[in-house]
This record gives sequence, C-alpha cells and structure tokens, in this order.
Amino acid sequence: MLATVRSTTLNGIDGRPVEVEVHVAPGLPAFTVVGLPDAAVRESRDRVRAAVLSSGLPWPTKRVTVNLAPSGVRKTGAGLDLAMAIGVLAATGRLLPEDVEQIAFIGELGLDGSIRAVPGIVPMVGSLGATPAVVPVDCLAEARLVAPSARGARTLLELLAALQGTGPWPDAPRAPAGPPVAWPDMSDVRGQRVGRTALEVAAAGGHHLLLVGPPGSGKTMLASRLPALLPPLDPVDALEVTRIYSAAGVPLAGGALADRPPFRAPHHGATDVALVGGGSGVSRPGEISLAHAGVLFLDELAEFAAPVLDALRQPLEEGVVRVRRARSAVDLPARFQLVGAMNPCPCGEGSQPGDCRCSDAARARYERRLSGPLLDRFDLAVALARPTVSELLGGAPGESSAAVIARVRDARAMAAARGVRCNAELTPVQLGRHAPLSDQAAEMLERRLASGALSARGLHRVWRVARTIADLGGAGPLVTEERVAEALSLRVGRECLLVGR
Amino acid sequence: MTTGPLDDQQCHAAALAGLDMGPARLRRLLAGTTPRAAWEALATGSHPADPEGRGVQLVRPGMVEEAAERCRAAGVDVVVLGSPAYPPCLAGDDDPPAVLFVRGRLTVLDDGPRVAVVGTRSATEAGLETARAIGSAVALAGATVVSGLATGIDSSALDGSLESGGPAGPVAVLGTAHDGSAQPAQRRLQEAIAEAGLVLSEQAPGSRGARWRFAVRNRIMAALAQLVVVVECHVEGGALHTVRAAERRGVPVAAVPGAVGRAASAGTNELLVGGAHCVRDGTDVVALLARLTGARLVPPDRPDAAAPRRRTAERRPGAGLDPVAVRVLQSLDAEPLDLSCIVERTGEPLGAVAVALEQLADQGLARGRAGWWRRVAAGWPPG
Repeated sequence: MLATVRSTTLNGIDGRPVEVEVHVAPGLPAFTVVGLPDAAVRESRDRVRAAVLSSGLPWPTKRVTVNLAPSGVRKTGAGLDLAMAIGVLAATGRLLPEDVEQIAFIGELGLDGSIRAVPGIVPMVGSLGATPAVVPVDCLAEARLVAPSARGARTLLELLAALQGTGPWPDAPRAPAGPPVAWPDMSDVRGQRVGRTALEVAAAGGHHLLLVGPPGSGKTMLASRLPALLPPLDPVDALEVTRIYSAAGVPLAGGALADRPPFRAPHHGATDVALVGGGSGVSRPGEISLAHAGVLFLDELAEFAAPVLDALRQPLEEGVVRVRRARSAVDLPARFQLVGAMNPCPCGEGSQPGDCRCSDAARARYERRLSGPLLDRFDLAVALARPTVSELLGGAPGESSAAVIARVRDARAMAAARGVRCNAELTPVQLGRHAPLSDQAAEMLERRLASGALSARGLHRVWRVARTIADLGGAGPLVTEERVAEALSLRVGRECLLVGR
Repeated sequence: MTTGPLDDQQCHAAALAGLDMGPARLRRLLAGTTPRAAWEALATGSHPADPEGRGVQLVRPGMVEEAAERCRAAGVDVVVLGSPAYPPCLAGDDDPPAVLFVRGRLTVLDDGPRVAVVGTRSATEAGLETARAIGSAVALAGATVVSGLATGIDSSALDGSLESGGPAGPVAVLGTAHDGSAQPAQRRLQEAIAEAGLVLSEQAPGSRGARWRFAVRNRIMAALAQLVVVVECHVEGGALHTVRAAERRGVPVAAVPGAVGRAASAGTNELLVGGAHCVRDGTDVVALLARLTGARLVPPDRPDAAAPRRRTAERRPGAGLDPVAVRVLQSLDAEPLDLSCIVERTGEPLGAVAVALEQLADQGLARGRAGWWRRVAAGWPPG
C-alpha cells in the first residue's frame, strides 16, 4: 500500500514543501527513510514507531519505506515525524487517504504519542500556500499569523479522531500575556547633550552609531534607549521579522506578530557563525538576521574578534547575508542598524586629552582591532565624557522619550516621502535632489574634503546625517551650514580612535 | 658627519654590546682591557669578570662581522668609554654607558648648556604646545635640548628645537637601538635629528627592545643635562625616572605647573610641591638655565606678555565674531571642554555651537581635537 502526505521542512528562514511517501509492502519487518534525511530525520523512525505503538495503534509487521520528495534536497529537523506517522497509518488503512491528502502535517512526536512544537512554523506554514496545515497545538497561534485555516493537534490519537470527524479540533492555548515591556526613558539620561542628539539622529535617520567613551560615561545607557525611539515595524517587516524569529526558535512575545523593531545585544565572545548565521546542516539565522529591521548593539566593540567584525561588512552594505555551504545555499535578510560602544583605549580614559595611561603599543594594538572599512561605516561617532557630579545629582531630568519619539516619527515621514525607509538609505543621486546644500554648507564640506579630513564616502555620510538633522529641526528642503557643522561634530568620536594614525 | 669604516676594536665593542646585557656588566667586561681582548677572553671562558664562563655560550663565530655590518647599515658610529672621542660630560658620570652608538655630531654636546625636556606620552594639547615652545626657546637661546624620542612631550620638545632654526641641534637619547623604532613619525624625527644634532643609544643595532631599557636610558639624559624640565607627567609616570636620576646626580629639576585635577599634570604638580623649580614657558627655562649655569643666554621675549595687550587695543581679537561665537568663546577655558559641556554652558543648539567653534578655530581663537575644545591664550578677553 502507498500513501502520500504533505509536509514541509525549513531551509534558512524559508519553508520548503516536502511530500512524504510511505510504502508498506510484505517482506522482513523493517523501517527505512530515504530522500536525504539528516540525523534528526533518521531518528524519526524510532520516535514514529514508538508514538504509534504508545497510542495503542498497530505497527505493520511488514517492510515500511518512507521517501522524502524531492529527494535531492536535504531535509532537516524533527518536524516531519507527524507526516510520517500519518503516512504509515494511511498506508496501513487506519486512515482513509482522502482524509489526509489535502492537508499538510508538521510536528515532532514524543514516544508517548504527544505532538511537540517545532521551530520555524511561520515560514513553513507560509510555504504551503492554500493547503491547510495541522501543527502542534503549541504552535497554533504562530501558524494562524500566516494561515488562519491552520489547525492544531495535541496527541496522535486526538488528531486521528479529529481527522475522522469523531473528535474536536483543540483550540489554541491562550498565550500568557507577558508583563508590559517597560522601555527605559530618555529622561533618565543626565547631561550628555551630544550623546542624546546623536541617539535621536540615529533613530530618525537609521544611521549606524558608534559611542566612544570611558567606562561609566553612559554608552550602554544611551544605546538601550534607542529601540523605544524607533517607529513600530511596517507590516512587511513585521512578517519578515516574525519569520526569522520563528525559524530561529525564538519565542514571539504574546504569540503575536513582532511589531517592535528587534534589539539584539550579543556578548563580545560571539563567533562569526553566531553573528552572521549558518552552521552545519541547518543554516540558522545569526544575530544580524535576528536584528533585521531593528538594532544590533555590539557593546565593547573592540573586544569582538577581528574576523567576526569584518564579517559584518558585506551584510552592512547589502542588507542580506548569503550563507554558502557545500550542501546548502541560504540568503538571510540582515538589514540592521549597527550601534557600537567602546572605550577609546585599553585603559578607558583616552578620550579626555592627557588622561590616557596606555603604552603606545597597547593603543596601536587596540586601534588595529577595528578595521578602517568598518569604522568608515559608522555615520555617527560620538565621544562621550562622564557626566559631572552636579549633572548626575542636581541636574534637571532630560527631555522624555515621548517628545523625541514624536520628532523621530515626523522625520521618518519626511524620509518616506522621498521614497526611502530612512535617510541612511538615500543614494548620492537622491541626496542631490532631496538635500540641496546652502552655499556656506557646501563651502564647509569642500574645505574638509580639500584638507583630507573627509573622504568621498564620508562626505555622503555627513550629508545624509545633515539631512536627518534638518528633518528633525523641521526645516525646509535646504541643508544649511549649521546642519552640516552639527553632522560633522557628531563624528568626532573617530578622532579619539585615530589619535595614533 | 660621515662615519669612516669601523676599526677592529669598534667592531668588537659593538658585538659585546650586542650580547644584550645591562650597562654595569658591560662596563665590567670592558674595564681595563680592549674590546677585542675582552671578546676573546669571553669566547674562551677566561674573562676575569665572567668567572662562570657564561660568555662561551653567548659568543658565536661571525658575530663580530655581523655587528659591524649592522652598524654600517644603520649608519652608526661606535664610541667606547675611555676612547678620546667619548663625550667628557658622560665619562665623568658614575654610571656611564660603556659603548655608545652615535649618529650625528658628538660636538653638539660642547655647544652650550644642555636641558633635558621630558614628559608623558599621553599629553594634553596645551602640554604639547608648551613643550614645543620650550624646545624652541632653548634652542634659540643657544642651549641644547636633550630628550627621548617617545611620542608626546619628548617628541614635541625635540620638534620645537629643530623647527626654531636656533644654533644648537637637539640631542635624542634612544631607549631602543637606532633601528628599533617602529612608528613612521618617530623615524622621521630621528632622521631629522641625526641630520641637525645627535642621536645616542647604548644598544647595538639589531638588539631587541625591552621595557627596562627605557628606564635605564633615562640616566643618560640626566647625566647629559644641567637642568631637567618636566612639562607634563602623570603620578608615577616614566618621566619621574629621569627626575630621580637627576636628583641622584645633583642636577636641578624644574616642572611646568598644570591645573589641579588634570591627570597629565598630577606628577609635575607633585614635583613642584616637593620643591622643584617652577617654569611656565621657554623664557622661564632659559632664565633659570642662565642662572644655574652662569652661561650667558638671552631669554627670548615672552610672546604673550605686553605685546598682545597693545595689539588688543588696536584690534581686539574676535572683533568680527557673531554673538553666538562670542558666547561660545566666553564659555571656553584653557582646559579642554567636551562638546556636551559647551552646549550646556551656552544653552545654544549643537549646530550653532559647531558653526561657532569652526569660526573660532579659523580665527585661531580656539582649538579642538576629538570633540574637546579649549580657548587659545590670545583670544582672551573676547571682543
């Protein structure tokens, strides 16, 4: 007897439909799986057999062959368990073929016949098109984000009853509403006029931001306030982020579509694969993909291994990371805003003139950790100083996040009118059209170019930042000298790092 | 100065120095014998200063030729303690280098009184300017600047002396071998000094650098100088080695005062509290040097004394500034302030402050680096 059941498997962050063909024929009792299964799929045999027997159902004392088609593509994960079990039950006549052939089954089986959650439900269900899917009941909320017709199942026996019309389909369990996210507020930041401005400009324009300062100068404090300033995700990005999170097995807050830009802050011990994505067999999204449409915050930037940082350069340019392995090719979205924080030198005190106690060699070694091309990609680089005691204790609270959020929203709307998500995406041609420079502004930039203080690439970055600053100020289309001067003053942090060069 | 080919004794002296031992041990090996005899005794294990015969393991055939070739490649002359060419001011010291590797003119040491100008590598802009001004004033007055080649104060003082066009060339005392400095800026300065003055090292070309060599080198600066001036120095900074070496030799020490609380001036302020001479600029240094040595030196006019006051009467600096720039200038100090602080003090938006600072920098009234700005002396009081 032959039965064919639909299912799907995960490749990167995309689902790939798979047909599970189950053939039961006379012969020595055996159970083989063919069609490029990986280790987890081969282990399915034991789980499927145990689950069927534990459910009180007979296992055929015949030769069982499972083929996963298309057979040239590597299948990964335990999500094919359920489809195999259903296929065996259909091939042995326990289920009618017409009850199962128009449905796709996704889920991992426990030895007791329970159906367990698997990662990647959103992209997997999304790849099925109009075919209704049966998923583990714990994944039902996730599946319904992309396919309202999806149904859940708790155990193999319950599923059998529901398929035959003798039992109910279980409802999605109520996702416990987590505590409301309390974003830290900008009003906690005392002093730091330049740091605050830089953060607001970064939020409004999507510019990459580097914070340089001694320990205790508030780098991490500022960076952690960025996500709250960013506008909510648009529907396209929300779905994309949800797909990535689902594929990575990261739980979704409240089981709903991601609506806030992600904020990822990996520790500096991260490997290049952890950051960029990939891995053996399954290509998992890395931190930069998890930060897609959001913020990747690298604290203690100089402590990351140099090859790890240099692996960021290509995704920073292209917004996508192309993971290529001998047997897999995956494109993972990675359009993120990079925020870095670091000390100016190993002793930490080097930003204030005369305070550094490092040897020349130690400083030179430290500066080499951050390659020039990576440093170049930061539009904003600010040098922070420690706030004074009077600022910390007596100073007035800073402006609250709410006021900043309103300005950021207006600036983003202006960028959208230019046909880009944010000003960081403006091309040089668009800059010429949408950000005309006043005479004094052009003259100021020319002077910097002529003196070599600014490169051609740097020019465009300053220009974009100046556009964002003008947008935040609510000014007209012309970019004035004041805006350019401000943009230039928001990148002097580079100089602290280039002292020895 | 063109160096002729090294003679046999010089080659052996270079090879001995290349064995990388401390100065006292090297001196013992060379005491009362010629370099060649010392080398041969060391090779056979019969040197009286090496009773355990450890030299036998150190000495390999061909080392003498190798050392000579390295000296030739680096353009270095070899001067042995006790030879007529050896500078008398060092020969009289109680811890003189047994072998000196020399580029430039040794006669620079006879030109006039010598001042060691030393300080921290991590200096403030103001400190670097002071060091440069002192270097220049000392050279113009006909005295010689002695310093190390470290970045920061040392390099600035030597640079000031070179640029001044004064009669005396500067003297650089290296803590490495002549071919040991890695940074391009240091190499350039070293070449220029070898051309105009004198570069000394007690390490053979090709020797490995070591941290302790810098501390040991400081005694040579102290021995050469009739006055040691510390411009900026942290507490327990390396420049204090030179100060201690100077105090042991009875060489007077002077220090430039700095703001209380500024890390880079903490060491110098402490020296002043401990009784060091107080100097503000090149004029003070030259006057002090003249008083201490009895040499006839003409201190150059202090640039910012009476003259600028007359000038402000004619044309006040910052006359054509706009009101924001005036407020920004008023908020600046001689000590660097960071941009956030200037914005806070003036209450002006960042963009306006940035434009004003650019304008002030153009007019030479303020100077900034890496987001830290300070007022330049001539800009006070603002118009």
